Amino acid sequence: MRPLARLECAVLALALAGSSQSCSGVQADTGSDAYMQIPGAQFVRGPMPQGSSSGPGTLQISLMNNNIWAGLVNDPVSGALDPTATAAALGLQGDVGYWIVVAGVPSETTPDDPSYSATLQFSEAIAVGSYTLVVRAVDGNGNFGLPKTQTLVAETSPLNPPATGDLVVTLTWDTDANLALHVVDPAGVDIYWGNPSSEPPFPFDQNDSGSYGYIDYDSNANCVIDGLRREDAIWPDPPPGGQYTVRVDTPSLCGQAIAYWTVRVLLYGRAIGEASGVALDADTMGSHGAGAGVLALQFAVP
Amino acid sequence: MRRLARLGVLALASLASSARADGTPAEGPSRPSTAPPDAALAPAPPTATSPQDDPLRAEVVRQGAAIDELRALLEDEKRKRANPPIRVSGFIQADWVIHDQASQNEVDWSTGQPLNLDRFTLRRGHVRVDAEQGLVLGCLEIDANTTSGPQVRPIDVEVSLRWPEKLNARLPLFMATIGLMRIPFGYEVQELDYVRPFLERATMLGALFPGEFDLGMRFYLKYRFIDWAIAIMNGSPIGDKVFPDLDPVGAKEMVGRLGVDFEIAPGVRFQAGVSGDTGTGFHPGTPATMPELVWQNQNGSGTVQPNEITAIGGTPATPSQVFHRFAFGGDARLILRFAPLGNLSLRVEAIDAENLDRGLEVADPISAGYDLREVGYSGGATQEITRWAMVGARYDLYNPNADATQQRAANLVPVNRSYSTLALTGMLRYGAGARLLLEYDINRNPLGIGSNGAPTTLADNALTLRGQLVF
Repeated sequence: MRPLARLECAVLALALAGSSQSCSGVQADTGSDAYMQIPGAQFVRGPMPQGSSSGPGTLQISLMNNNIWAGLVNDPVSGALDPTATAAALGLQGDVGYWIVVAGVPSETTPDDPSYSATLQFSEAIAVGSYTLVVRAVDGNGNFGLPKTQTLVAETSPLNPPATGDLVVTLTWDTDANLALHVVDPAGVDIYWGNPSSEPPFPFDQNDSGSYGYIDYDSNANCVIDGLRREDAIWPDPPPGGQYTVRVDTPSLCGQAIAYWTVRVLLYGRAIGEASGVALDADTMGSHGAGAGVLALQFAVP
Repeated sequence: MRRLARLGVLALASLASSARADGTPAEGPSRPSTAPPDAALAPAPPTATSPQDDPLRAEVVRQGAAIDELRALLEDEKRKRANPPIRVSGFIQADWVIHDQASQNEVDWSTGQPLNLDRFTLRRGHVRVDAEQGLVLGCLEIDANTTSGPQVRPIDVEVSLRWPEKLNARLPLFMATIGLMRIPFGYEVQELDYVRPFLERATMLGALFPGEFDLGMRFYLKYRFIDWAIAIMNGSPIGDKVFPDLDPVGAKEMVGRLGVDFEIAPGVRFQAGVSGDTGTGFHPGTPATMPELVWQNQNGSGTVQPNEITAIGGTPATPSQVFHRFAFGGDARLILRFAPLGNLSLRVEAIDAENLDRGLEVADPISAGYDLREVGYSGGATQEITRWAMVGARYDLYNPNADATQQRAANLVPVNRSYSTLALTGMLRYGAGARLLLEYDINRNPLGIGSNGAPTTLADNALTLRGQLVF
């Protein structure tokens, strides 16, 4: 319970002489800062109760696979609980809280035991590494049982692997808005969705051995939401030396209130710059062609 | 005001002039002592007089006529001030939600609305224009608020025909009204927002009669201590969650209330009523859907595997359906005058309804597969502390589905879906409509899930300060 709520409970208990109206119930909390989230379940902030052998046990954890990644959604988990269980508590060890899922009817494979099922999703903030999924059964009196655990391995998303190249400028943002990355190279060419490559148009100069950059993807273009929320400007070969300018344009917020964005620059695999900002409705005004957007950062390539 | 003052000065000047004329004993007839004061201003009857009296008499007659004219103008002005053809009035209610337990610094992803509730808000800002022309009267009331962002909307727009034109205690008052008007059900729905001693109406009224106003036609009859109202309405009030101020069904809602209001003893007033509502609800149909393929990236490979593709067949359109809904209600109020402290007011109201929830958990028996029984009641008391302050408490409970069940493990168990509020309020008052109101609401609801899986209260107690001005 949060300190303010605790204080309110104390005051209210005094005022109402310990009325049952005062402090029962759970706190409203979306749990959106948790590494693991379960839509539709009740989030409880804080560590999961330890439980004891007198509580109901968890008989089974069934996962489609143990590999997870940042931004993974629709990852089903299910299982069976002791017959006295009426709910299951699920959480990642060390997370900011856990989730309560109501027990359901027994499944065909365990016809005598209550079941549980949920759809997991994982925060964009979850880092590559190993995590422990903890499941505890809870009975009708709220007694937690001993835990059953399952190791989950967080890896790089196969759907959105990091871009590779000698120079990579990456724009990411946090909501389903349509943002656009603009990178102006030393020659003054603005590389963006409307001009996705700095390579001159046909006919090519056969003697030209220059290095050109390109935009790999136009995410959420025209508000067709693809969920990637990322665009990269990539120079696969050593990039031309000189001054580069990075701008972030906001063609549309697609109904979102705001979008927080971050730009990162990797030169030969080493981070050389980072900038963050917020896209507001005012940023959607005006032209969205070459030169559009707000200045994020500038960097020099030797 | 200046016109009234000018008329008054003129009248006084004329009276003084007349008095001077009448005060000359030799020049005028003596008045009988029984004559009313106004008789002094009336022209004297012609009598046999000397020739030198004629100009004075003519002057008296002329001044008397002028005074009559001024008196008529004065009376006309007074009447217009008492019943002006157009009256502008309104009120403002501005809130500061000091603390709400349900508040979060987050966004509701389904609506895009912020979940922070600790804020300043304009709850109601109403401007009302009333007009009358003989037997016909009307009003236009606009509501501006920031409850869900800035909003301006019509809230009370009606035209009425009444009889008699002037209230007469010996005659019944009849009124026929068409437009956007208060739903004639129960007591709190009728209670004016700036009169109500609590911040908001009981939860059951917000659920069953959301917004309190609906479009329709109402007939009202009041005779002595009985009043009766019956209305034919759209059935989609202004606060309806699905079709506000629209009407998806041709059949109309019938709503009515029969009430009494009388003094049972000196200083003890009793008001009570019974109400009913019967109508037709609407379950929207669904459009046809095309067959589609769905890919679920089950193994996380990011590439499509044959076993990860599911075909979902199309569905034909389904027709919309209608269902019957109704409500019965009763309300009572007892007002006791305790001089010099002030009035003690006690109130109770109860409603039994079926499939009528339009504002909280919208009733759709077609989707649910059974009729949804709604039950609610409220009871409260307020005590004036001189004319400067008031304290009060009200408890209300509303169950949107008295037959609700939950699948918990292998068992289908009945669950309590009730919402309740204990409102504790204290108010400072100044003049006719200025208030500073502090209210603590202890809310219970079924929106949380306890650790055992059962519905439990999602903490939602709130402390709110409201400033109000009526003009």
